[in-house]
Amino acid sequence: MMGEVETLATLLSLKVATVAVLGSLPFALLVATRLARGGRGTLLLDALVHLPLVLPPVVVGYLLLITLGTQAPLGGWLREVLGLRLVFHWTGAALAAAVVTFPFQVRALRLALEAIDPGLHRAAQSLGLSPWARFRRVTFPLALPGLLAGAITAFAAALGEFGAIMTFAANIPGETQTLPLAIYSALQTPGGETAAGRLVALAIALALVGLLLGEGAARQLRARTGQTLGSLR
Amino acid sequence: MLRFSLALRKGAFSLRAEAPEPCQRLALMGPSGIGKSTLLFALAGFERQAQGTVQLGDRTLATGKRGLAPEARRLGMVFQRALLFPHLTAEENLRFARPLAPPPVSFEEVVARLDLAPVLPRRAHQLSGGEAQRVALGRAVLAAPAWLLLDEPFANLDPARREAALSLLDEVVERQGLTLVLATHRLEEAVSLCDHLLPLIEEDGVSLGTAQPLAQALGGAGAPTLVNGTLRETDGTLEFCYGGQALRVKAAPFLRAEDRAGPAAALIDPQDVRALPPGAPAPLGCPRFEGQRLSADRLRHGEDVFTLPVPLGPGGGPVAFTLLGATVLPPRRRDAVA
Amino acid sequence: MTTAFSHGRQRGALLLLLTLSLAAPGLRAEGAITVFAAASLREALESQAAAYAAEGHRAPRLVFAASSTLARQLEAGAEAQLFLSADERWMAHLGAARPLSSAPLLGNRLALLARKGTQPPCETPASCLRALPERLGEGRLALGDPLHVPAGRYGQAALTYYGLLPALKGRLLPADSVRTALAWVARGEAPLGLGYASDARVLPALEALAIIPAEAHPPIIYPLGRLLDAPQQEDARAFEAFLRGPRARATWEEAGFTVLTRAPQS
Repeated sequence: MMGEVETLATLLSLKVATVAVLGSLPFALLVATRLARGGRGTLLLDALVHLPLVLPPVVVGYLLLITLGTQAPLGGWLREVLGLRLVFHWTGAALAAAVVTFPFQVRALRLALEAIDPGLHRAAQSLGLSPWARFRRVTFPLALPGLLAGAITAFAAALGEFGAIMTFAANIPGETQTLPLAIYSALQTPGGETAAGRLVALAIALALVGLLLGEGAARQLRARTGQTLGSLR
Repeated sequence: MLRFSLALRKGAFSLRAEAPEPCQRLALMGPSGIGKSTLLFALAGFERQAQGTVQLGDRTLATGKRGLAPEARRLGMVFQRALLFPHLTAEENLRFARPLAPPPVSFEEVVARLDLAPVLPRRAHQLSGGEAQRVALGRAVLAAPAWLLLDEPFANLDPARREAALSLLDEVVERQGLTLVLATHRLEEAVSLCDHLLPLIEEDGVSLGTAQPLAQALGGAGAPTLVNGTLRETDGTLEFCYGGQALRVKAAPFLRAEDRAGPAAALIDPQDVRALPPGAPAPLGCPRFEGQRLSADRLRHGEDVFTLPVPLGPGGGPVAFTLLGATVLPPRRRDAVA
Repeated sequence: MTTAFSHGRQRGALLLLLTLSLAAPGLRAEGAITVFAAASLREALESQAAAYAAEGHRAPRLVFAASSTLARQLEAGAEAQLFLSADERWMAHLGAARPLSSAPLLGNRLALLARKGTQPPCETPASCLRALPERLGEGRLALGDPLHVPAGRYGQAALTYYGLLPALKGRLLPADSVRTALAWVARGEAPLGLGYASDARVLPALEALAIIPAEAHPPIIYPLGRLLDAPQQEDARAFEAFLRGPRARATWEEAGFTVLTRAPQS
């Protein structure tokens, strides 16, 4: 039913998007916590985080190239010391997707964290919990629906990321050719419209499934904690 | 036993308060906005102090500008809002703290005394205000704290439940020798539970207060007056017939069954004295006074005599009055207060 | 007395006027012609256009991309007068969709390119190519996507000719245009690339290690086509004649192309 190109592109898309989302999650959590706390430097950090949203993805890919390409000091170091290959490698595609979708995760997490009644932190403190225990038993479970929502959005966006991956990781079938890039290639080739059509349908199906699953899970979680819009005791 | 001396500054707000002698049961009192909650939070470590010392027993919790974090102070705290964790059931909330020391009361006893059995499996948003507050109280007690800090915790409770909660608190404090700090504006609560009072007043833009033994705090002019008398239970209200005057009192906040009849004392806040409306039935066996509002800013009392300055009506006759409320103290509390 | 209805009419008229004025630039009768050209022609064609303008004509607008991209855009109705493709296939593809008159203009050679000084010289082109797997090391061979970029197609043909495809499986780096492929080589992201000999002349960071023998791939022909349904045919014909004429020849050859002399069909 699915040709080799399609299978490869689908599997790669899933791999890249999953790694992108999971990999950036801890950073998103750190940044969101810092932003939710407020104070000096919040505005600047917020602007930096949102930069990938307003920059054209190709620009993001290019910036990655000049900072993490094999000739760049940081890129060369990663390659030599950690053996980490990024350019023309699926890890690079995942990184490009992660950078572009980072703002989505941070936004959703920050909103979720800010929505937690600050009194609950005090209550937890009064019951003798250390900061880590407070995070583990109060903050994290309450922020979970928001975390999920952000991850799902980022996942769907990562599935569709094109410009940054194309520029930083190139369009190599089986290695970095995710679904959007495969669609692009198919469209370039004469007579490739039917192939493109099949790939488009696949991409839509994947994104829909991801969105439905994620929304469903988030909804369940929210019901459990009684967090409907506008009711926060 | 708590001793402290604190100075706080929060924006335009300034507060200085102290308890120079060790107190075991301290009530922080004062009008709304004076800083009772802020002082309580500072003792708990939630507010930064500008300067001061807080000593609980032989532990120094705070000194100079710095103090232990709240989680290190072995608190048991009940806030004005219940602040139950929304992702947990009531039972999970109760069991939330996992103290190393065993709690003063067992889980089952707390559930029984506070009547929480029916709400255990429910979540925070499924509880009424009163139910949530009771769970919050149970949660604090079950944390095996070294001291209990309460911020107007009984507002949402109906009288019977409030009574049960106060009674549990009293017992826990008594049994474990815990220290209690209660921020409240209700005199009856303060008097029912505490032996020291820290009244906060404002002077030149600064809130000030010093803790004093309860009797001393109550002795001043304009303060509530302690009167002696006999209790008679009728129709769910308590009538306090005193020296010929019948004083009808609101439902007692905290009385055990054995305290409901017999010799007792009452604390009367001058603000609670009102003249009877004309035409109201005469109180039992007491002469009737007709007329306008009574100015009762000075109530003096002697051994068994309750004297009121009785104004004269237009015709020169005396004025009928009733009390809107009084705090009735059972004999054992009376000894502590008087 | 104005009614609600006449208000609506006034607004509608205003909107129409606004739209028309915005569309006006597209409707202008006089202006520059547009030439769509393969990416590898950038520098050469820009020189040609400058020379043409120096003669007093209006300089044409030049658009560069992979021939595949351009052909598809033209097929979809993009407005251009001339199309300089890097192979005849895409010209034929376009001819099936739009009326055009085309004839070969330029030829080129395929070359193996590397960043100056990074690779040892080649004894012969064949030996160099056969040694590609070793020369590449861990890196990849950059070239235009063989599926649709003409230079990539020629490159793949050459690799097939020398039996290198199995050895290079998974070691290729397909780019969406030959210039992108060479940019990677110039950046050091890929050690070697297959591009046009003309590219080595205009990208100073690169050097041509070897010129691929012409028998290894189909002949490289750049046809020049004129879209017959585009406006300003006069101006289009004039520029086409210039490009095919004697004054343009020197510039083409200096850039590394060969000029194929064949009379244009009308």
